[in-house]
Amino acid sequence: MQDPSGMMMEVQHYSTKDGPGIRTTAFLVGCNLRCLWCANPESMLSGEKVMHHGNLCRRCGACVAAAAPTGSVTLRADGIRIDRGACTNLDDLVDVCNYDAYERKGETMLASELARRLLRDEAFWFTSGGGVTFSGGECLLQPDFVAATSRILKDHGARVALDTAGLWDIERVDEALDLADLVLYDIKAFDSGIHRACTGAGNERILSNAQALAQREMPMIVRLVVVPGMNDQPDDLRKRIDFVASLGGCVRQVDILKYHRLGVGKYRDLGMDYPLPDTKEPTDEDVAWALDYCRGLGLKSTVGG
Amino acid sequence: MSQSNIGMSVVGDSLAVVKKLVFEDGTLTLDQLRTALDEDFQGEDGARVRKMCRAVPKFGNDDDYVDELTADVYESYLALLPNYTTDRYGRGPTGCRYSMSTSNITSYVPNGFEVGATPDGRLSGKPLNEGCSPCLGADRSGVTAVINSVSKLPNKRMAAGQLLNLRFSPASLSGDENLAKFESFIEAMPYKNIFHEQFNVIETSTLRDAQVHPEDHRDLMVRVAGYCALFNTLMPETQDAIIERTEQSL
Repeated sequence: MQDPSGMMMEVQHYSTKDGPGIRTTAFLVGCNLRCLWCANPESMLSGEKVMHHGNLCRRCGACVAAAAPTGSVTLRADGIRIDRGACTNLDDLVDVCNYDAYERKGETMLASELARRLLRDEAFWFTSGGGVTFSGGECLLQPDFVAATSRILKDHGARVALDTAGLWDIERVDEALDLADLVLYDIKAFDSGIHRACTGAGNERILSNAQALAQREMPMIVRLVVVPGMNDQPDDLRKRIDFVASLGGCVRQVDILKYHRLGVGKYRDLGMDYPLPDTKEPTDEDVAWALDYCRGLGLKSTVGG
Repeated sequence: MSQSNIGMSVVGDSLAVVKKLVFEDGTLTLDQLRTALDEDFQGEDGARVRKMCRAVPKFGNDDDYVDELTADVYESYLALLPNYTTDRYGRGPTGCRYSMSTSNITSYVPNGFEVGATPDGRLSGKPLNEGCSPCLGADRSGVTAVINSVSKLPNKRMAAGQLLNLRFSPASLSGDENLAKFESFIEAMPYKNIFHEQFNVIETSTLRDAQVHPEDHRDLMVRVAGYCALFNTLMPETQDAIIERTEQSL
């Protein structure tokens, strides 16, 4: 049997927000959207990453001395400054630092190895009605890896969910979909222009893929992120919800996801600018009308999943 | 009689470091390790050795390499126990032998005062591990990995209780759905060979605030080890040790 390898960020145990029961979530690396509010930039961009955690830095200067070329890492009054464009040996600095301020993120692994790690949680899926959720990044950018891992999981009787934003060629991901019991489907805007402004891509294929999943009678939990000033125009959000309702009974639940700023520190640690420096987190009251609107259309809905 | 022991995870983690770095990888000599321990990992060289020590697998992350060594530590203890009897021995029907438990109450904190730096990377004077829990901050792979590690210990033969303490954030248990998931989590324990488990469900910020403003938290009760106590009555080192128990965010 084929055992493809994939690019993984991490496995998260006892996840309670990624589907029914106790889930074990596999975060895959790489995404074809560039959502300005993304909370997982380490999984959005492809490849391995090196993060620098300023709170662990003891200002010992070891990385400054080891950095190539000289001057690409400097010690300033407020801590270490890394010129990521210039530094050619960032990966070496993970081993140079004695205080674990540098951290390597992301690893390549075989489907069989991933399945073996996930199956360690089997007993918890059994008592809770849970299972595995593939997330990311966009997990379906690695459809063969997801399918091969899912096949092993299904042989053990595990249930599998896919957390996806829907920007893919459905024939290419057909096998992974066939093996899935549930899809967590993100729709980030109804108007394609808004979608493009917020994520870098239009949403025509995302909406048509949602309809294709509905035709396959794939159980779905649709997730609608609400980001103030970006995609929270009431008229567009209403249309998003109308569209979800039009998908019919395969939609088991709608989760209104409030924008949060938990990712800010990760951008700093990756040496990236946070794209939404001034955006505020919405309150439950801000999205209460959307919840009511969903319920008015007969959709089971939650705030936050 | 119950015979309680302290620091099994410290011993298991430390043996793993010696086995891997000294005997398998050959990246550290016993002399270098001893020097670093004697100097409490101070200085840049001590920091380098400590980094190597900390990178070796730790009990509590579902890693068989160290979990099996830790289970061996328990086995060696259980093998010795039948050699000991109480002074009731030969004096009638009352029990006169010892059974094992890991209920070391709070003694893992003051006992740590007397123990120098250990090869697992623990600094001199710091707490040992509580119950059969992983060392403070060593469990970094989530709560199910802790359960899986503890499930490899000879728990069925710890007749006086294999005590495991876990700390959850209140947010992770709020609402009916999260509570139902937590129930399912506990239901999995018998399948996991685990029979004695306790929980604290308090925010780190609340505990920190109680250290600064004890007068505002007179009724703050925490699960310490085999018992509950008012947080304010605990010695500061024990308060810190409870705060440092990994908060499982779900």
